[in-house]
Formats: sequence, C-alpha cells, structure tokens
Amino acid sequence: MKLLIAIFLLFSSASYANDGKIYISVGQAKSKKSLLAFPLFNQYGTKIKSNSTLATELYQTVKNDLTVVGLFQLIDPDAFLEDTSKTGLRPYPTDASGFSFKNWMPIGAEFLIRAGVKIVAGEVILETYLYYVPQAKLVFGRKYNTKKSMARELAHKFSNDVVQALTGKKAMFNSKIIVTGKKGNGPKELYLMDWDGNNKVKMTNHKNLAISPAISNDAKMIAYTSMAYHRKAKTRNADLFIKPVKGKAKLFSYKKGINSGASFHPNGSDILMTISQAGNADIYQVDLTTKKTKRLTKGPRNAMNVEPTVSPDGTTLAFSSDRSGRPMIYIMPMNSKKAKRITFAGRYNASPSWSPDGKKIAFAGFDKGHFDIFIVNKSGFNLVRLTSAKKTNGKWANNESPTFSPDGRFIMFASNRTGKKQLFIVDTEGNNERQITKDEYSYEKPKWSGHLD
Amino acid sequence: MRLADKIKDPFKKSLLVSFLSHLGLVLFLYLNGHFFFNNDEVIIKNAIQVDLVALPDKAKPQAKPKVKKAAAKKPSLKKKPKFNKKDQSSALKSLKAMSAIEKLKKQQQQQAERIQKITQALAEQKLKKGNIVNKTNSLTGLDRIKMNQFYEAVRIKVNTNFFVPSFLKNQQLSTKVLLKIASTGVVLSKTISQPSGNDIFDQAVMTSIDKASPLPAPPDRLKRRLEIEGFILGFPE
Repeated sequence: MKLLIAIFLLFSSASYANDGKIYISVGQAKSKKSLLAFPLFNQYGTKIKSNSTLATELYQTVKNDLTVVGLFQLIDPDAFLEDTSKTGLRPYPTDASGFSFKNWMPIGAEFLIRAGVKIVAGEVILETYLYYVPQAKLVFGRKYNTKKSMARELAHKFSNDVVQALTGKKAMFNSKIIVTGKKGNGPKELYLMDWDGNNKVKMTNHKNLAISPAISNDAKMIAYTSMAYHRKAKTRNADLFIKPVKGKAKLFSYKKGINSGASFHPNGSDILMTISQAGNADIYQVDLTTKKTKRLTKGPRNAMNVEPTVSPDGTTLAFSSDRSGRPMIYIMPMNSKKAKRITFAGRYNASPSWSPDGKKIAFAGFDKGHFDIFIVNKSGFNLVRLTSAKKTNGKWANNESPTFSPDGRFIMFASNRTGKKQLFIVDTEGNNERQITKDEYSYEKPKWSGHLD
Repeated sequence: MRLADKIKDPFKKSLLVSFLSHLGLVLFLYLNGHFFFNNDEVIIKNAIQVDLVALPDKAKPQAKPKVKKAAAKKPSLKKKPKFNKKDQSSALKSLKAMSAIEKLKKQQQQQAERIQKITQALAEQKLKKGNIVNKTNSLTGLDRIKMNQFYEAVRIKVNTNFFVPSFLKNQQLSTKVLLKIASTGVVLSKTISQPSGNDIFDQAVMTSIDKASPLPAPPDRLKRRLEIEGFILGFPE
C-alpha cells in the first residue's frame, strides 16, 4: 500500500500548457462558400446594341469564372433589394447616387461586386469594386482597359484579381487548352481554346491524324504527332511537328518508329518525347534549337517508356512504363537513370501530370473495366480517386488524360459519360466537377498551358 | 522581562525565556498561516496514474523449487539399513533426524515461497502484464472520466458550428479564445487571447462560440475554475 502511494505521487503531474489553464482543441473547420451578390455590369457611354452584347458577354465570362472556382454561392438577382442600374458603383455618401450597404446586408451577402463597362473608340474600360459587406469595407477597386478584341482576357483578369485578393493565389482564368478534336467521321485535328471552352481555333489541317498534343507554358508553341508520309521509305511514320500558335507547322523529329508523347520542358528550350529508333521506346530530351538528343531512359528491353513530363522545378521526370509487366507511373531525377515506381495498385496507370507545386501527380488508372482520374503524392502515398461517373446506359464512364491547371486548383480530363468524349474539370479533392465543353466533337488528350497574365 | 528578573534562579529564568519564545514562535506561525495563505480547497489538478505495461506472458505451470526434488530423490538412493537392535535404535534416531531435517526444509521452503509471493506482489505493482487496468485512486477515477467527457462534449458542440469561408481554406490560420462559463454552461465572457491576423477568420471563430452557446454544463470539480479562471479554446488546435 505504501509502495502504491509512493508510485502514485511520483507520477502525478499537472501538465497543461497555456499557464496552467485548461485547453481544448476545437479541430478543423468545415468550409462553406461565401454568398456573392453580382449584379449586372452598369453600362456607360453610347447605348448601342453591340456594346450591350459585349458588356453582357463580359459579365457572363466573369460570372462563369467565379462560379467554377468553387468559392462563391451567387445570390439570385431576384433577391436584390436595389436596382443597381440606378445606383452608383460606390457607396453613398462617397458617391451621391451611390448604393447603400443597408440594401445588401439583409440578404446575407458577404461580398458584393459593383462594376461598370464603357466601350469607346474600339476600347473597353472596366471599372470594378469588390466589397466585403458585413464590414461595409472595400476590398479593392480597379480600372481595366484594353482593345475590344482582348475584352475576354480583361474579364478573366478581373476574375483572377478577385480570387487573388481573397485567397492570396490567382486562379487559372487566363490560360489555354490544346486538345485533339474529332467531329463525326472527320479526321483528328488539334484545337486551341480558352480554359472555359471559348475562342476555339483549329490549329492543324493534316487531314489524317494529329494526336498527343503538347503546349508550351506561355501558350505560344504547340507540338503534336502526325502520320506524315516519308517519300523515300514510301511509308507513313509517327513524326513530331512543332508549330508556333501564330505560324506554320514544321517537322521537328522524324526518326524511324515513334516520335511521340511530347511535352515541353519548363525551361522552354527543350522538348521531351518517346523515340523508338534505337530499338526500344525510350524517353529523350531534345534541344528545340539544335535538335541535340539526350537519352533519359534505357530500357529495360522490350519495355515502353512513354508520356514524359517534367516537374515544374525542372528536377524530376514522371512517365509511364510497362517494365514491370503492366504500365505504371515512375519518377526519375533528370540527371540519373534510377527510376522509382510510385503506383502499385491497378492494372494500367498512365498519363501522369504534375501539380504546379511539384508535390502531386494526377494520372489515369484502369480499374474494374474503366479509367478514372487519380491523384497521388510524388512519394506514392495518399492515393485518391477523383472521378467516378456512369454513362446514360448505366455503364461506368472512362475518365482519361488528366492535366493540371496552372494554379493547381483543378484537373481537366476527357470523359465519355455523356456519350461523346467531352472536357470536364474537377478539383484536387474530387469536388466541384463540371463539364467545360458541350458540343458535337469528341475530344482527347487535353493539355493545359501556364498562366497567361 | 520583569517577571524574569523576579526569579533569581538562572535555570528557571532561561527556562521561562525559552518557553515564552517558543510560544511566541508558534503563535507567529499560526497567525501567519491563518491570515496570509489561501484557504481554498486544494484541487488535485490533472493527476495521472501511470502503469508500466508489458505484454502478457504465456501461461506457464508454476516452477517447483529445486530443493523439493533433491530431497525426494535421496531416500531412494539410500541403502536399506540392516535389521538389528543396535541398528533399530540408530535407525529410529536417523529417522527422527531425517524428519527433523525435512521439517526444517519444509519451513525453509514455506518461507521462500512467502518471500517469493511478496516480491512478486511488489513487482506486479510496478509492472502490469496483459490487459489489466489498475484500480485507480477514487479521487481521480470517476472525476477524470467526467472531465474528459466534458472536454469532448465542448469540442464537438463548438466544432459542429465552426465554419470558415472556402477562400480561407488553405491559409493555416489559428486563433485562441479565452472563455469563461457559468456552472450551467452559459458563456459569461469570451475574448481572443491570440488572434489569427485575419479578421474574417476570427469572426468565424467567435460566431461558432455564439452558435454553440450554451455549452455543456461542466462537472462539479471544474465549475468554479471555469467560471473564474476560464479555459482556452484553440481553433483549429
């Protein structure tokens, strides 16, 4: 008994931090979207129909941007207590005919955007104010202007600024997508479009096959593979073409066999691709100016090493290889040949895409008869499935070819859940999934450029 | 001193001085303790009883002490004594001697067993093998459970009401709030002791406390402390 007490006293202790006060950890919060009141842009200047159409288009562009980014819940304009076409962009009394915060607080608005458009002599001027309603505070006020042809970029820039002001990190609203598109029985050609599917421009006209596209970070150059006809050999070969977006395509790599799966190195001066001329399908780094090649992978024999992509900091290569018997994702330092396998589950893992912070890799994995998009840490841990959808006929849809947005918030991929392959995006937690293209094309292998503003 | 002067005997004098000074010292200490020190009941804070735990042993049959076996063997090895009168008395003597030895051995054995039991009991008090939970001191056992239940109930109620705008999600913000609650759980005061630096986040923290109010009633042992000293809520930790 005495011993018991002795031990008890020995181990008794008061061990709270915070100068002896009791301390309780509440734990992580749940996140909720902020209510945003976004009335139509006020229009200034001459009231002609084309101006009005453009103003509406700009408004819709911003509205779509802010809805997709997943931070806001837009308030139905029917709930507005104020006719914003009649009130100024700034609050009363700063602006004599200004709006009143008293009209926005009762509807629960957390944020309010007041903006006005003026189109004069081929130029668009956008005056914007973002307010935090509970504190009747101005977050930022900015005036943008550009020529009419660049009006959409201006609208996207404003959306980026809103997101940056609140989260500290701008969004991907000014960026481009390069994708292979096929209409009906037509050939597969390349198309360049804004991230939201607008401004679609046809890039190639080979009239047979233009596949496995790549886009440089600044969206000024694209690369792709096409089955070009070699006159001497009298056969077609999978050759690599490089085309400046505003220029002509040039044949870049035409070695015998495969010249495919290209991706631009972040340094902008090299391109990576798979070349099979040496007997094995291996990954090479090729200088864009001198065309000098540097072999990065070497077998093993009969293995195919494809779909190379370099991490944003330029240090690590990610690729798909079937050296283990089944296609799996591997990573390898750029200056060594020691590849490290990072996926072990599944039967077919391909199409790796690095996150902009270099910490995660998205890929397409085959499971139970269909492909889904997965995300994993570059260490191989924290494997998470991001997509799971059924087609209208009840069968599982294929979700393939993931590509990260330049701000790391979203992953774009091609999905056949609607019947035809269309482009979708999803966030890195598997939420906020959204269809981006809605047309009669069938899209494959999208690639997302870097920030363009 | 006058009294001391009156007593001529030096021994008696010093005795009186000694007695009076001791009395004075006792009075001084008693009064000091009575007026200047806290009369509050001593709250045993966060007493933890720690048992050193080990994996359970495989069940084994008890090992028999060696002494017993050796004693059992010996008689069988001895030669049978020849039967004659002289031998009979000597045999009886030896038998008596043997029984005496055996008795002694038995006594020794019993004592050894007793010692073993005691040391084992002492050892077990230090080392708990297997899934045995120590019978805790009644002062901390039940009260401890009540306290932990209270902390968990508060955590759950506040967390359920804790929402942060999506645009602040990845910003690693944290806030600490000093909360004082009445014995019924009603919030008496809440102040931010460590702000996050982001007004909107801090506002969301205070809102979660408002929505969670009144909090669960604290256990008796904590009532006074939470009312006067309060406690700290960490968002998220």
